[in-house]
Amino acid sequence: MLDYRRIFRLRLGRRAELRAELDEELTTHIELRVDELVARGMGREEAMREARKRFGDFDEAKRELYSSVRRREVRLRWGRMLDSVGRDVRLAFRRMVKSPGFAVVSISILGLAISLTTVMFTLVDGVLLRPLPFPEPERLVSLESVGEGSDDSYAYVSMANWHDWRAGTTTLAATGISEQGRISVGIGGDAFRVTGTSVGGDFFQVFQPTLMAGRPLTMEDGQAINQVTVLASSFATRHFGSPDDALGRTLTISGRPYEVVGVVDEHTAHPERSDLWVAFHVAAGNGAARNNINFQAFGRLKEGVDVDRARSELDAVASGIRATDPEGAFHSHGVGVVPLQQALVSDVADTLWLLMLAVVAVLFVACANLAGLGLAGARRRTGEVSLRLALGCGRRQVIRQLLVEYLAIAAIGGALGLTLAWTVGDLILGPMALELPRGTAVRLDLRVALFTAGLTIGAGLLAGIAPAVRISRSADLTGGSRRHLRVGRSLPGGTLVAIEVALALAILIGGGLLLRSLQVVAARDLGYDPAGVVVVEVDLNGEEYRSGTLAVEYWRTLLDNLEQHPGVQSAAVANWIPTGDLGTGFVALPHDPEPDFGASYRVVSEGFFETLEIAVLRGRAFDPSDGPGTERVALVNRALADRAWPGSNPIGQRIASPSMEAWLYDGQAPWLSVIGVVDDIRHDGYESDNEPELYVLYRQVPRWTRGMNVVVRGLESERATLSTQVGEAIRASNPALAVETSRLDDRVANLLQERVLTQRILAGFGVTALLLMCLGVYGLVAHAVSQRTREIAVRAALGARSTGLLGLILGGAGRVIGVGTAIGLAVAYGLTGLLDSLLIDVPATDPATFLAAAALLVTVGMLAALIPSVRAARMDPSEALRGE
Amino acid sequence: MDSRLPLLKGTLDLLVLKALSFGPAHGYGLATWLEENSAGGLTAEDSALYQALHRMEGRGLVEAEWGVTENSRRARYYSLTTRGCQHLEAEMQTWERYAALVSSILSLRPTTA
Repeated sequence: MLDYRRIFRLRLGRRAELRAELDEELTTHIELRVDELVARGMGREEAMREARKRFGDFDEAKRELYSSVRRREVRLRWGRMLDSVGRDVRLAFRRMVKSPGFAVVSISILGLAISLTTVMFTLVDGVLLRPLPFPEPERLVSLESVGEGSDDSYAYVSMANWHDWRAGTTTLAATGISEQGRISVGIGGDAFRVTGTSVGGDFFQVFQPTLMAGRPLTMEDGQAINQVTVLASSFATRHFGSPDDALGRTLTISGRPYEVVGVVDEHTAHPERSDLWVAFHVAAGNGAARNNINFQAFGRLKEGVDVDRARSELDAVASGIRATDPEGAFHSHGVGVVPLQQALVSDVADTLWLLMLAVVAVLFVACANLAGLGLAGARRRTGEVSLRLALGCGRRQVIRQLLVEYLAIAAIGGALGLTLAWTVGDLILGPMALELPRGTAVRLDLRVALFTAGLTIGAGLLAGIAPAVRISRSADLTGGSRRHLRVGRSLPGGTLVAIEVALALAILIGGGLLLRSLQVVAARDLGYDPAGVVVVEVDLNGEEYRSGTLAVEYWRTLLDNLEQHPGVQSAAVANWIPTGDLGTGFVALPHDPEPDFGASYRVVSEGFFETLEIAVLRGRAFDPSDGPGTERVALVNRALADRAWPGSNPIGQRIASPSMEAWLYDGQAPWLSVIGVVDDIRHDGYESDNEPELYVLYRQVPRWTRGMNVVVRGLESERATLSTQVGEAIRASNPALAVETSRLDDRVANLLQERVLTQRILAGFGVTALLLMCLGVYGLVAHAVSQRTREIAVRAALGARSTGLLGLILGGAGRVIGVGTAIGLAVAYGLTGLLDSLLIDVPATDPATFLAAAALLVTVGMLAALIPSVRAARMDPSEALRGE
Repeated sequence: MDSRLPLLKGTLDLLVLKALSFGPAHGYGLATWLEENSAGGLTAEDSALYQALHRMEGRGLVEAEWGVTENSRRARYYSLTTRGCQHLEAEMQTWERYAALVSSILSLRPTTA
């Protein structure tokens, strides 16, 4: 029986082996006891029983012993492994000290690549991966308006529609709406501009932010007479000392007192960067009210309800609305129920993933670079490794030891990368986080550090596996004889360098396309000139301005006053200015009461077009003769004129704006006479398109003038101080106003900022990859030259011209770069589709960009190859041969 | 009444180490050694002995190796490691101080004043 087990011992696994040994030990014990008892004259059967009795519970003991044996074995193995890894690590560090050049270059390359990857991951993680900071965030949805086409959805909803959704839903546990904007707040005697969010319904029950003091806002707060507000914790602390101290205090918002009833932890509140929340009155509505699409709506799904069920339920509610109220059917063809996380970041997800992909490619280039360096150094290592193999080291051990060397380098590189990302990563993170939704969640913390650790290990293995395998193999085959190491005509590591070339080219092309697009977009005509213009948003909150008459008077005085200022060239007011909010409504024409286009509705003073330098193309602008008592007049932009009166003269035509003016005239918007056509403007900056616009004169619609933007164009010489001058003038006109000035050109630039940053980051990655690639090419050629010294020297000695030799060497490098370039072009061709959403007016396969990037890369690559080649071609053959 | 004494907790380890200080032995050998030297006065199940051996092996106090008995059977022989020797010495001292203290207290007699 024992023999039988022994035969199979080796074939059994180590566990079975342990079990068998234990079994044998205990069985032997029993047998020895039985033998002795029998020797003393006991019967065998009885002896057996006695032995068992003395032993105790045999099976139980065996189970316990076996588990302790196994634990010990596991501990032992770990200990042994740690020991040998420790030895490998020590060896690795000794090698690094011995060849510091290789170590320093490798560590720098990896450190750079890892820091870039870490920074990008920090962004991706903060914006796309981290769960939203609300309880059970997966249950949160954004509710969107859906137009006639199935993909025509719009992130804003009307209060009236939402009111009916809320009444009809059984799948939402809570739902609320909100509207956000900059508002003026009075605290004590001071006035501030802050970001305020008006909320309706069960907004706070949807998001459930953490309360630091007091209570959240409820549906009832919106209907109550006493108005209340909830503050963000940092705002409360800044103005009142602490959340608790803020409770019960009073703020003035839009001229009315609001009592602070609660303070929330702003990191758990929606929307981010809001300073305070107030509740508004939610009312049902019909007809035109359904088309007033100004609010964002959110919901919290009931437990166990999925998005599809909520969507089909709300779609049914929406079709009910359409059936009973055809007047308000615009954008009510369904309800988009979108997971909140997706709704918040959908605009930037593509961009971030694209940049992440690019940076991973950079990391690959870095790894290929390291692997290339390792391969080039392989010959020097072969002897040492052969010796170790001869001394009985297994090949696997040798490979492990070589991998540990790379892991050690990667570990230092990773630490360096993390430090870089931590210290200077903010150069990328800071501006990006400002531009991105959820930017406040972007931070480099333990979670990111763990990712970097994983990345580091991956990079070490990736860089090390090729050299390790190659060294161990060549050492194995040659048994220590260096001369027989196969060198061959092909460049070792040529494949790696070709990969580097391909990846670098793909990234460069991506960066190039974005640059082209940026150039094209930034060269567009905005239709107005933002340079030298200062804007200030002013709300006239006082009750006395309600009728508008005094408001108009206020603006007129203010504009007169401003134009007296030495630095001011011209000044105007407008309800909606480019780069800011914009209201768009239906228009009506005598021949077409419901055209399929709307127009934005701008209420402006006479000087608006002069101040923004918007060209008047036909007819005339508003002038002092137009007033409250004269005929209602309007200007249209070219886009509106083309759509409303294609091919005919717009001057003298009539148009009405029911959405914006019906409420001023008991439900019947008056006809306006078109007196002029002005040029189109790109309202949201360079990336936006021209939309139809309707301009009316502020004096003719006084009730539209309580909140206006003052726009002032400064004289060239006074631009530096213009903001201050304007701020002072407005403050002087009403000391209770909070004045926030901004430069229009800054605001235009900010709208382009995300594109600019994306382009710069991708270009940065491209340049990094290009430099790494050059290093790879340089190393490759230098190595090849060093290996072929004898051949080159012989050729030189036989009379080969140095230009011929140069061609010989460069030819090899050229082939590698050529192959890499071809692959890179193909890869880029396949991948630039990912850029499509970011490219404006430039095709994703723009041949000029492809060619320019390839030319740049080939030129730089060949230059990198030229340096070692020239050195080789110039060498003295006799000396080189003697050296061999 | 059974005159055999149950083993105090922890003493078995000490006794096994002591037994091994005379030289390597297998489990059965140790069991019979203990029986003989206590003249059958101590009771422990054999399984407890093995548990003690494996426990001390895990702590590095003893080590084991397969060997062959006088009757040519394969058996696992245990021997003391250096740490085991040191441990035995320390434990013996502790035990002696402990035993002396306990017995000196137990030998106190009430005195009549």
